[in-house]
Parts: sequence; structure tokens; C-alpha cells
Amino acid sequence: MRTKYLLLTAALASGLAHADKLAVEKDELKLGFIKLTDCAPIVIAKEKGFFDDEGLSVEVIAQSNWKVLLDNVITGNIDGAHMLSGQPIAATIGIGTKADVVTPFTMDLNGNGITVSNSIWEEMQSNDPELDSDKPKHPISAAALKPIVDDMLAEGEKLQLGMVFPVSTHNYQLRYWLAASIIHPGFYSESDVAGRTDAEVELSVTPPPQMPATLEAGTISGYCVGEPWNQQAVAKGIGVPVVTSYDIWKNNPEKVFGVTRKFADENPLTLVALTKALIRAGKWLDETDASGKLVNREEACRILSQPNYVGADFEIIKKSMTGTFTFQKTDVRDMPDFNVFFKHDCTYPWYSDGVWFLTQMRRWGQITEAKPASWYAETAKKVYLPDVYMKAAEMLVEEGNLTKDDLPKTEDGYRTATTDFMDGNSYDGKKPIEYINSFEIGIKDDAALSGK
Amino acid sequence: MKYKILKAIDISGLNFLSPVVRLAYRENPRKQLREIGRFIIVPIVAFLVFLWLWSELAPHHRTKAGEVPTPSVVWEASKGIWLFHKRETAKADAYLMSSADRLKELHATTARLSELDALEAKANQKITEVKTTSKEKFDAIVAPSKLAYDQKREQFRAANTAREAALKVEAGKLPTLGADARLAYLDKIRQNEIRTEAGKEELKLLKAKYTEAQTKTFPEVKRAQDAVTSLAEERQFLSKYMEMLGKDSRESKSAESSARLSEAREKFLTATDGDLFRLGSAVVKTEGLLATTEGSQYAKPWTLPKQIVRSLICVFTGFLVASAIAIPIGIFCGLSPTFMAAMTPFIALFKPVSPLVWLPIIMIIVGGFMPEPENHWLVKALDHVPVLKEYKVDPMFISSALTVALCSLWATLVNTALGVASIDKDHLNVARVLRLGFASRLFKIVIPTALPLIFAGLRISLAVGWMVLVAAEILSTSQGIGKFVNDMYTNGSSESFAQMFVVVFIVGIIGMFLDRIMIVFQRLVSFDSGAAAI
Amino acid sequence: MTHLPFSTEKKMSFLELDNVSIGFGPEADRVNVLQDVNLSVAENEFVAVIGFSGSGKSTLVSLLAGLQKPTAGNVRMAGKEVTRAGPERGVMFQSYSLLPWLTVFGNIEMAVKSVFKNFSKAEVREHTERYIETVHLTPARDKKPQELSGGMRQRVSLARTLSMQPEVLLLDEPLSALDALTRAVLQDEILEIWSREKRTVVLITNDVDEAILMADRIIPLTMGPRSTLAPAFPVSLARPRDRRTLNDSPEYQHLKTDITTYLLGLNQEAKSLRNKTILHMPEIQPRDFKAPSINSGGTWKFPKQAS
Repeated sequence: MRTKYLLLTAALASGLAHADKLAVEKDELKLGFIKLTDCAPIVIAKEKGFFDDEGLSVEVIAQSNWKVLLDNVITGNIDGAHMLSGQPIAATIGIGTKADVVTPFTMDLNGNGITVSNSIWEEMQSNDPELDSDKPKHPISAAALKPIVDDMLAEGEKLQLGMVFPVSTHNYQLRYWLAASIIHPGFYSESDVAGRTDAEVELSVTPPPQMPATLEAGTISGYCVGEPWNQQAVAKGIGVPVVTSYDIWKNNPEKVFGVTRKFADENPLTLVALTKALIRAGKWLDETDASGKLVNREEACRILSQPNYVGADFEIIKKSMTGTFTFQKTDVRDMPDFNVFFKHDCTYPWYSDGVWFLTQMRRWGQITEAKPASWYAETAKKVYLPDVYMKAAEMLVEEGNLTKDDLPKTEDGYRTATTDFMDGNSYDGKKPIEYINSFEIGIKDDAALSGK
Repeated sequence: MKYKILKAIDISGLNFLSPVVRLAYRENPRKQLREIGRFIIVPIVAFLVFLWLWSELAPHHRTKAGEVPTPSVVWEASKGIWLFHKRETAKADAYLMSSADRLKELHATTARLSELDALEAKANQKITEVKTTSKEKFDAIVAPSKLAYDQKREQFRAANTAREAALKVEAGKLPTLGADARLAYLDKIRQNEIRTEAGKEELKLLKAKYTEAQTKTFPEVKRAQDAVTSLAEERQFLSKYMEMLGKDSRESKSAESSARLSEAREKFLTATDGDLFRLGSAVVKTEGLLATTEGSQYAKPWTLPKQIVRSLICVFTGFLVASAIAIPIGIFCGLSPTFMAAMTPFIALFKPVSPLVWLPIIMIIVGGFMPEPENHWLVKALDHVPVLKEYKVDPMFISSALTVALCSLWATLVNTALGVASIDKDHLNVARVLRLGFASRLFKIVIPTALPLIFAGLRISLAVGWMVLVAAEILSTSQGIGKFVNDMYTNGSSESFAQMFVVVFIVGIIGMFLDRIMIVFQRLVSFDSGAAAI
Repeated sequence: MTHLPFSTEKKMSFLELDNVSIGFGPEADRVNVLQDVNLSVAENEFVAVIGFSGSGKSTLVSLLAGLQKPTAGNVRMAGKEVTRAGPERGVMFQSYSLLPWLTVFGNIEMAVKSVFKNFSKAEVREHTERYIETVHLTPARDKKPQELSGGMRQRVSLARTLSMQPEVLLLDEPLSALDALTRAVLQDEILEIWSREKRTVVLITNDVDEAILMADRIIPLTMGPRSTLAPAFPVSLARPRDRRTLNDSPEYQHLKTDITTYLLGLNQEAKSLRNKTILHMPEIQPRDFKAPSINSGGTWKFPKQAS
């Protein structure tokens, strides 16, 4: 009896701390995810009760691949999902299945790696003896790869590389890395949807679980993928991650939380509630103590290693999510920002992020016609929903779950211009045409389009 | 009595049991013992031999990406699957528990958690020990090859640099010398290249040895690691379980909602100033929230037992659809050669098509019929059926079921047509003499004659359907065994391969049961007492 | 049935085949199985048709039953043309054709229900059981055909046919598949039932003894193709006929000899008809075995060719 009284009082106390819940239109939801560690915000929001706090009963369902995930969102089989940043954009402009997909929340920054097979790594080391040490200098560019590519071309063959989806961040990062060392990854065109025109290497879509096996078999010589697949390669001795996406572009946008425009229009309050829960999850994941240690990551890894979530071994997930990254067994480096879930204004849906992806799509020819600069800005506006984010964030500030400092400070939704790229190139989201033309390899557009 | 049992055994197709029954009735003991030996002992021995061969050969097949698991590993994996299911069920139950039960569970859980503290301390100690000793061993093994490699590399680099320096010095003298000397110099450069390459080759060999040494694994480390992991996972589960028993339980949440409702009502009823409309709306909203909370369920993730049941429901749905299409068409084909001729090209063309090809097409068609799955009349209707609604019929389920139907209906169709067409002419003459009408003839003579073949067809169809289903589920991501396989595969955990093997056995055992059921039906309708083919 | 004064007409033509021919193939190239067959069976007469295998006996039964249509001539029963099969002409097939998924009771019940649509359930059951009793199969009532011997199956077939209460019984070699002893038993049964429930019966058989034992008239069927019915042999042996004493009867012996001779004669004729093409071999004979050899200058002499 006494215990029951205690239970009730505890419940009351916690209950009074919450402000009025949103009157959500739909309280039973299904969210999809792919088994990569950066699905963490969705999983943590469920496991830590953040969805519950918003009055949402959420079922989190694993999807088998990116295409199926997108189709399920579009057909309404699931309400929203963990998506590649490029997916809502590509769907909106009609690359692949055309549908109006929008996002109010960026799930994480960074988190990918490019891994090559042992034999390629050894050749790279003999091409560049600097690499042949226990702790080579980072970031490693593709310069040591170029002689290998040239040798293979001379023999009439092309180096095979894998990535996860035609509009994935992995595809663009891999291409960026190769092109920075003057290796041509291939153009897309109306007739060439595999993107192999003029290519010096061949990029193909490979499902992540098959990557280690195909790497070992030699079918591909390297791949760009998220975690836990790079650390799996190291742990099993199949390959060597040579560079991470953090090295290629510091704090680049990786995954977003996507829903159909229809869902957003019909369930605006539900979307805000979802965003609130996800923001809280992101903040929890990036919780740092005074010494700079990420305090909640280990618990997060334990949760993610459950078979219904990411399912990989706890030890493997831990290698990349607890502030370090293992490049070789002898080379474990501090990388607290390998996964960023909240810091650096990660979760805000920046228009400049959208524009970057559009520029890369145009650079490689997935966007087949030249477009004026205004088109880039308008398209980004169609996909990203900073209003929803701000509403959610402000409610969280009122509830005391966020501080005012946590909110991003921006007038127009564009980040300031940055040179945080591996090749030192500068990116200004407001100048897409100039950016497209700034690369040595890539389609060039008429400079006149920039004023339009 | 004995004959009744024997007849039942015969119908069920479990003929290997009849010697046991006969032995119990002391009929011809020597003969029965021999039969038992042949039909029961021998298969068991064969299976044990298979298990032994498997555990001997499996460890030889290993790649870095994965290895063939031994039977014991597979058994562990199946226990792991069951444990996950039990834990998730416990969490779901905790959500709904009443306070008396919750208190009991809370006490038990707290006790267990303190036990865990001690256990974890020990396990952590053990793993540190084991890691240290194995690291020492590892270093001892690796050190020589590492040393050799490092030394050689230094030598190689030094030698290389020296040779290059010497060549450069010589090159400095060349401008004064003639063509002969220059050609000789070229030769020297070539020599240098050859030596560098040779040096590189040597280095490669040493590097390979070094890398090879580094692949040494220590099973005791893995074991200690597994022990730590299972304790940590238990701790994780127990803490979440406690939350579900405590503040996250439905009772607590309802209590919380109730409290808020009373508060809101108080405010509304006693407010002197302020917007009464807003306060009133707040009351009504809170009432709604309370109702939702009280009726809510914990969104439990799908576990294998539930997925198996859903797969079975799916395969039976597909099978029934297939039978409903194939049997009538088959009857028409058998009755009318013209109709059969018309159908032949379709049968020949569509029979060999693989389910993996049908499925995407069907998904598009079904998606077109069900643009808003949750508001579709079929889904809504099925949501009211008591047992079925647990299993959530959705467009992906329907797509899988239709794919199963499309792939499995051909066997039934062809067999039905054959059965109907090969009716004894005399039986038809009897029908004519008796002046039976078309319907009478059909149901009293045609169909009963064709039944054995129809059931033979149905049996094949069910077997095909079960095979097709798992593939269809993998592709359509409809919840079921296929989805389980796909999820385990994409997990890429160290248990994944072993879990695949568990699924092999589960799918096989279920398929075996389905087949047995069909054999029983087939025997019941067969009037020629012919043995059914296994 | 036409009301005629009691005369030969009524006596002769309850069931008749009138210049019936049946063949297969196009008109120009037709091979007739049966050609110009004429048959008149009086009411309640027991007629046996006897012939070799392949002479078209089953076709004859089909025609009589209405299961097949003649290509020329017509089949009449009670003055009306027979266009389709029906329960008034009950057929007993050579292969019993019992439905294997029904019991003895079920097989006969099915026939009863189809013919007597107005019977109540009780009436159907009583009717069926009566006929099962008629063929002495009541203990086997609930057995399936596979569980019965050949003789019992044929009895069921007989019971089924009788239960339809047909006006004509057409028996197509019903006892050929049985052993001699069972045949004898069933012959007696059929005769006994026929003597109680008088009906017109046409029996097809290949056994002369059976025909003489059972029939009023025996009509041979000539050999095929283009078989036809030969003139009948009337049987005036008194009924009931006892097979044990039959052998001693002179009429029986005469009949048997006559019929058998006739049939064998048919066979010869058929054989001779078939051997139309004869090859004449040249008659070469050595004149003398002791003739001198060629070396000694002797010559062969050929006899004059037989023209």
C-alpha cells in the first residue's frame, strides 16, 4: 500500500513537470530504419521513452534496403524513416521514384568511411611509403590509389568500388575523394544511369551486409559505407579504412528523418512531436561531461546491438561510436566527432545542405540539365522544413529540455561559407553555380546561370 | 483396438510407428525389432552421423568474412533467439501488469541486479586477465615477424637511398662522357630497378608473414567476451524491465494522466478569470489522452515465434487463393479440351516464372489498389477479426500471399485438369444412363474421381508455396520468417550465420509438418490404397 | 406403348434395331463396325447375342442403350425412337463401373435417387436395401468396391441396374471376367431374379453354354468388320433349367453343336475372306537326285510351267 502511494507520487511529480502534450493527429506510428549505427536517434527516442513523452506509440521496423525503405514511405506502409540526405531531394526532383518527400530534422553528421581491401592497401603503401607505418598521416587522399587505377586501365580493367545507393552521401563522398586526386569516377547521363561514362573506376551499388564478403572475394576493391561495416572490416582483417567522411568534409550532413509531404500536411502536430522526440534523442546521444567524454554512447551501443536494431556485435559498434575510430589494429585514433548527433547545430535542416547535394547531383550529371541558381534554392526550400524544427525546438526550450543556446542562430537557413573540405575547396550555399564550376572533374555550367 | 491404431497410423503416413505398436501387442517380435531397426534406428543414426560430419568439417570452412558454424554454435544461436523473444514478451507483459504483480517483479529484478553486480565484477576481472595474457602471447608471436619486417624495411630503404645517391653522383659525371658510357649508365639504372623490385618482393613476403601472424585469435578471449556481453545484455534488459514495471507501466501512466485530468478539471471548475474555453478544451483533451493511455499496448518488436505464425497465415492465404483459382479452372480444362487448348500457352508461359520476378509487379498492382493502406476497407475489416488482427494484414502481406498463390497454383491446376480428364469412360456412361444433370455429374462423379489427383496437386502446391513464401517475404519486407532472415543477415553480427542455420531447420521442420498434413488428407480421399509418394 | 391386339407384333417388337449400321470415319471411306443389323426383341424375352471378340458386341449394347447413335437406321423401344441413354434401359457393364468412393449402399442409393426423384429418404433406403438383399449382399452393405471380390462387385452392379427398375436389361458380357464357379453362381442368380421380376433382357456373351442355359433365343453376331446378326437359334428347353441335367438333354447337345459349328464356320469364312492375296511360288524341283553333276556335262531340266 505504501509502495503504491510512493509510485503514484513519483508519477505525479514527473507528470507535473511536463507541459501540455500536443494533440497529435496520429499516435500509432511506424518508422523505418536501415541497420546502420546512425539510426540511433530513432532507436534512442523509442528506448528512452522520448516518443512516449510526446504521446506517440512508435513501432520501429528494420527495412531491407534503401529502395524498399523509400518505397514503403511513399506508399504509406510506414509513416517516416531514417533516410539518406539525398533521398528526399532526389525523390522531389524525380531521380528515381518521384514523390514529394520532406525532412524537418537532420539525424547526424559524418559517420562514413572508405575501406579498401588489404591488397589495395599494400599497393597504396608501396606507392606511398609514408603510408607504411603503424600510424600514417591522415587524412589519406586517393593519390596513392591513382597509380593502381592507371595500371589497371592500362591492362584494360577498371578498379571496382562499392557504395550503397545512387543518391547516397557515400556515392558523393567517394566521388569527391577520387576526383580530388584526379581520378574520374564517371558521369551519369540520360542513357547511362549507372554513372560510368568516362569513368576510370567503376562504382556500383552493393548492399552493406554483402560488402565484407565481396571485398574479401575481390569482386570489389573498396567501398564507402557507414558503420558498423568499416569497423567490421578491420576487426575481421578483411580491409583497411583509409579515410572517413569527417576527413573529406568536416561535419557533413549524413542522414535525415524523412516523411512524405502528404504526411506532413495531414499530421503537422504529429510531425512536430516526432521532431521534438528526435531532438531530445540527439541531445542525449551527444551528452558530454566536463572532461569531454561522451557519457551516454556506451549505453547507446548496448541498445543498438540488440538484434531488432542494428544487431552488430557491441564491441564493433563501440569502436566507432564512443569517441574513437580504428583504422588499423595498431591505429586507434581519437575521433569524438566521428558521429555527431546534436553538436554543431547538426539537427537543424539547413538549406545549404540541400543545395550541396543538388550541386553534386549536377556535378556528376544525375541532374541532366543545367539549372539556374534560383532553382537550387527553391528546391531546397521544397524539401527542408526548418519551420517545423524551430517550432519543436522552441517547445522543448519551454519545457526545459533544451536551452536557448542549443538553438541555431540563422536568419535564412544557410550556413556560412566553409572550406572544411579535404581539398580545401570553398563551399557557399548561396553560390551553387560557382561551386559546381570550381572542380577540376565534373560538369561545368554556364556561369550566367548564377545570377538567375 | 490394435487395428484401429494401425489404420490411424497408416492414414497419417507415420508408418515407421507401426512396428512399435505391433511389438507392444507382441506380434512377431523379431520381425518388429528388425523393422524398428530399419525405420527408426537407422535414420536416427544417419542424422547423428550427419551432425558429427558437420561439426568436423565446419571449422575448416572459414573466411575472414564468416565461417560455417558448428552444430553447437547453431544451438546456442537458437537459444539466443528464444531468449530475445522471452525478454521482449516480458517487457510487453510488464507494461500491462497490475500493481501487485509489478511489485513482486520489481523485488525480484532488484535482487537479480545486485547479483549481477557481483557476477559482472568477476567477469570483467576474468576478461582483463585473459586479454592481458593473450596480448602477451600475441605480442610474443607477432614480435619476431614484426621485427624482421621493420628491420628489412629499414635496410631496404637505406640500401635504396644509398644506391640512388650513388647513381646520382655518377650522373653528375656523365655530361662529359660519350654515348657508350651513357648506355652503360642506363644499364646500371636498369639493374637498380631490378634490385628495388626484388627488395620489394622480399618485403611483401615478410609483410605477409607479419599480417598472417596478426590474424591469430584466442578462443578464450572470445569466450570471456561472450560471458561479459551476456551479463551486460541482461543488465540492459533488467534496467529497461524495471522502467517498464515502474514509471513506464500503463498503470503508472494512466495514474499520471488521471492526476492531470483531475488537476485540469479543478482548474476549470474553480477558475475565476482566464479563458474558460481554453481550460475546458484542456480538460477534454486530457480526457482523450487518458482514454488512449488506458487502451494502449507496448509496441513490441516482432520476434521469431510471432513471425513464424504470420508466415504460416500468409502461406495458407496464398494457398487458399491458389486453390480457389486453380481447381475451378482445372476442372474446366479437364472437361473441355478446347478450353484446355486455350489455357495451355498461359500455363506453359507463366509456370516457370520465379516469385522474385512476380513480386515487384504484384507490389505495384496491390499498391495501386491500396493507396492508403490504413484506410482501406479490407484492412479495416480484418482489424476486427479477433486473432487475425494481431498479425496486421497490410499491402506487403497481401503481395506476399498473392505471389505465393501465383507460383503455387500451377501444380494444382495441371493435376486437377489431368484428374478430370482421365475419368473412366464407363463412369461417364453410368452418369448418362442415370440421366444425371451437369451439376450432378460434376459433383457426384467428376470431382470425386479427380479428388486424389487434386489432392496430389494441392500437396505439391503447398510445398512450393512454402518455399516461395520465404523468398517473397525477404523481398517484400512483410513481417515473417523471410524478414527475420533478412534482418539477421543485415545485422552482420557474429551470430548471423548461425542464425541462418537455425532458420534452415525451422523452415524445414515446418515444411515437413505441412507436408504431413497434406499426406493425411491425400490418403483420406484416395480410394485406390496406393502409397503416396514421399 | 402402342395398344395393339395381342399379336405377334406386340410379341416381337418391344425393342428393335431397324437396319442399323454404325461406322467411323468419313462417308466415302467408312468402315462399318455393324452393318444392316436387324433385331426384334419381344417384351420379357431373354435374348442372347453371341460372337467372337472384336465383332462389335459392346457397340451393339451401346446402340441399344442409346449411348451411341447409329449412322444409318434407327433404334426403337416400344415404338419410340431411342435418342439418348436412360434408366429405362439399364446397362450392366463388363467392368462393373462401380464408383470406388461410394460403398455398396452408396452406389445403389445414387442410382435410386437419380431415378426416383420423389422418393423420401426412408423410401430410398428401403428400396436400396431391398435390392442389396436381392443379390444377397446385405452383410457387405457398407464396404467399398475395393474390398469386394469380382463376383460381389458384379452383384452390386446387377443390383444397381435392377434398382433402377428398367424396362430393358442390357448385359454386356457381365460374367466374362469371373472364374467359372462364380459365373455359375451368378448365372443362377440372374435367372432366378429374372423369373421373379420378368423383364426384357439382352445378354451379350461369348459362352455358348451360358447362352443356352439362360436365353430364349440365341443370335450369333458375325465376325467384324461389317458384322451383322445371323438368323437366331430358338431355345425351347423348359424352364427352370438345371445345368446338372442339361448336359444329358438331346436338344441341348444339338443346339450346342449347331451353334458351335456355325460360329467356327463363321471363323473359317472370315479367315478365308482375309486370305485374298496368294503368292504363287514357282515350282522348281530337281528332276533326279541321281542326276549327273554339272561337271560331267549334265543339264537341269525344267518341267513345264503349271499355268
